[in-house]
Amino acid sequence: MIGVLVTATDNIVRAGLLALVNASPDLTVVGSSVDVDTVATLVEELQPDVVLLELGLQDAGSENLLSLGAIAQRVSAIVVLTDDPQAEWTTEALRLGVRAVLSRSSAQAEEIVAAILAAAAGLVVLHSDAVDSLLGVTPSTVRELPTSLMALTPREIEVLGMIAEGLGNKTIARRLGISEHTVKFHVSSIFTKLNAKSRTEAVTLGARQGLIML
Amino acid sequence: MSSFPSERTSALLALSNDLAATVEQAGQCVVAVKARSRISSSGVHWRKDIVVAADETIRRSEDITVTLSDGRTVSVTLAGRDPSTDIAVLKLPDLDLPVAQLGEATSLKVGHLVLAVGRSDEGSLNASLGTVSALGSAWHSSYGGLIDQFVRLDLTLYPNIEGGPLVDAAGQVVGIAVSGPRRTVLAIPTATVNRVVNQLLEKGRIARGYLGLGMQPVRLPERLKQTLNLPSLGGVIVVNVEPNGPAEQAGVTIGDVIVALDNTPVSDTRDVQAMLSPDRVGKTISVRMIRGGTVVELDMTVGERPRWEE
Amino acid sequence: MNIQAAPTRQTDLAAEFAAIAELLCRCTVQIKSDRTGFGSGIIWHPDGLVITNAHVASRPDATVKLWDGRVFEAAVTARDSVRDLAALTLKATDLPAATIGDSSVLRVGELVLAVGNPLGLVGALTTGIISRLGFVETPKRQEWVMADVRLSPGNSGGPLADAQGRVIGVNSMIVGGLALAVPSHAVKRFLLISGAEAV
Repeated sequence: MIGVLVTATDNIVRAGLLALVNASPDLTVVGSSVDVDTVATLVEELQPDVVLLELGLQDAGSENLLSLGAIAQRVSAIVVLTDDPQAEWTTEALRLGVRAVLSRSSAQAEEIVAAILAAAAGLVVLHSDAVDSLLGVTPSTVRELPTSLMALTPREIEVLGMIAEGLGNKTIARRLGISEHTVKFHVSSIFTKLNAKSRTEAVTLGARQGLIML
Repeated sequence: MSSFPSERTSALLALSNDLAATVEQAGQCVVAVKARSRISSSGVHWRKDIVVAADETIRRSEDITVTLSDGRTVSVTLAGRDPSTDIAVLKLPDLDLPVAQLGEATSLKVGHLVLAVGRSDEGSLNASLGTVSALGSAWHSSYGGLIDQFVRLDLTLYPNIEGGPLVDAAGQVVGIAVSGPRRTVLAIPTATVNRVVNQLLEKGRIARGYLGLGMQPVRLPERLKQTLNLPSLGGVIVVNVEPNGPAEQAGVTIGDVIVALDNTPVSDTRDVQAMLSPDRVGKTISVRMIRGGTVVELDMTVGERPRWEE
Repeated sequence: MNIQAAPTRQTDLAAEFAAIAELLCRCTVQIKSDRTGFGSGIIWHPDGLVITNAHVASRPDATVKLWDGRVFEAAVTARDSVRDLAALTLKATDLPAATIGDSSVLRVGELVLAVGNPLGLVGALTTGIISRLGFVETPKRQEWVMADVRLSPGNSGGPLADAQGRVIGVNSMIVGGLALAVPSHAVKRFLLISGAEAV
């Protein structure tokens, strides 16, 4: 019987994870916690085999790596559920001894149980989608025409052109006679459609589609 | 203040004291920079009331603050930025803050001990020790920036130290420490920082080369590569030509596939971007293209990217 | 920083590193607490007081192996899992104890050294500088000595020393290429509070 300590700040998520663990014949809940801070002490008291930890999007930063480090010293198997962690965060988490990193929003119940069992057995579990970014195969190194990307609207192309000029949101808003809030909305949409993480990257990717003149 | 080593002091203790003293001395011109939501970065008080920081750590153009050694937080304005050289310039209000003691990156040798110094957002100094792992001549970044010297470091650049000064054995600032491609750590040398700061303060932004072309990367058939004796299978196809722009004036038309610029093979728009550095504005470059199944060569004068009035 | 390139200076450095490495090895012990591997510990007092991390000494008893090969059974006499410290007592006297330094006068940039048993290699020496000092949330807000040193899990519980070989920290964890050590003044406070030693 594998003892699991469940941690999640959201009550509904925690209830769901507790139910999931209880439903599995090989797993048993030894305790639950509402935040990462209390987990380290609980682990000392309850001595679980696996800690199942849900981290919200804003939590996947370096501050939480330190907390994870503290937990990792006390229990050997940690399974983390988080949204879209950066490759660097995942690499660091793995170095600290975290055994599994799964997507919080898309992981299925069977996947989570499988990850807990695998982690308890000393294996490391990652989703195959996560492995690409860990190995350094980022979108910009794959030279393909972006056939499956959604097309930018004419307004978005206009805004992208101004971003290429180095203009800030305020100036773009003034130039186009729209609110800064609307500009931010367009910028966000552009980033998503181009799969860009910064303005410079958006310009490079836009240039690759011929949307920006060089 | 640290005690100065006497002849009887151990070499190790002397080295340790020297390192700590260098950090303290160089640290006087280092500020913490808060321009992104999570971890702060660092900046160098380069000239009176001018702080230089790493552009990629500046994630917003307003509400930027810096933290000084006494923990005080001061609002600053973004005076200009150049992502192609990873330099951002912040303007401080009138403060009595020591200015960096600048040296030249050209004095560095591979194997030299160097320190990257930063300041964390509550005001305390941070440092990382490393060595110069590789040196090279001037290079162009993939965004078309000209960097006067290639300086790669074997050093752990903690996220909050990025943008802080790279300090040599003599205690001088030879550049700013930034993260490069593929997780390398690089220094942007003092010469580059001075040049870019001058341009940004004078004009607000950096001149960029411009051709007036919209392009997309293409992959050529192997047969064509062999027949035309091309260096690679890559090229960029012209999908848009700006009327009266530098490319149209040179005779480039839609459908042309550019395979080389100034004898450098081009297989992606990024290769074109890398060619459009400020030093190429006004220069004539050769263009090798495929048109109608044959190779055509033209000369084109690189223009300057048109600028919007703010 | 005027580093002389003269050969005599370099030989001095190499010899001093070696001397400190030996000093530290003598006062570092290997600790086996349960089935999950080894950690390190520091002989804090010649009368058999050993300091290590709470997470290294996870059971009430542990087996402690000295530098010279002698093996002792030890009992955990105090633990603070928040500060990650534990005190063990061995039935021995005249043990080679560490010289303890004052962590409150450390400066960023100072050289630090660590020895440990990474991957079973006993006595491996690693060096770097103090990168950062002060308080970090881990998750509780605590004071740490943070060093730009390459450590591995086997160094946990072992000593972090200054350029004179004085122990100023107990290595606790590694995050993002940064080694975090419990400051020696925190160890003194832990010993006072827990009564494990009258200081």
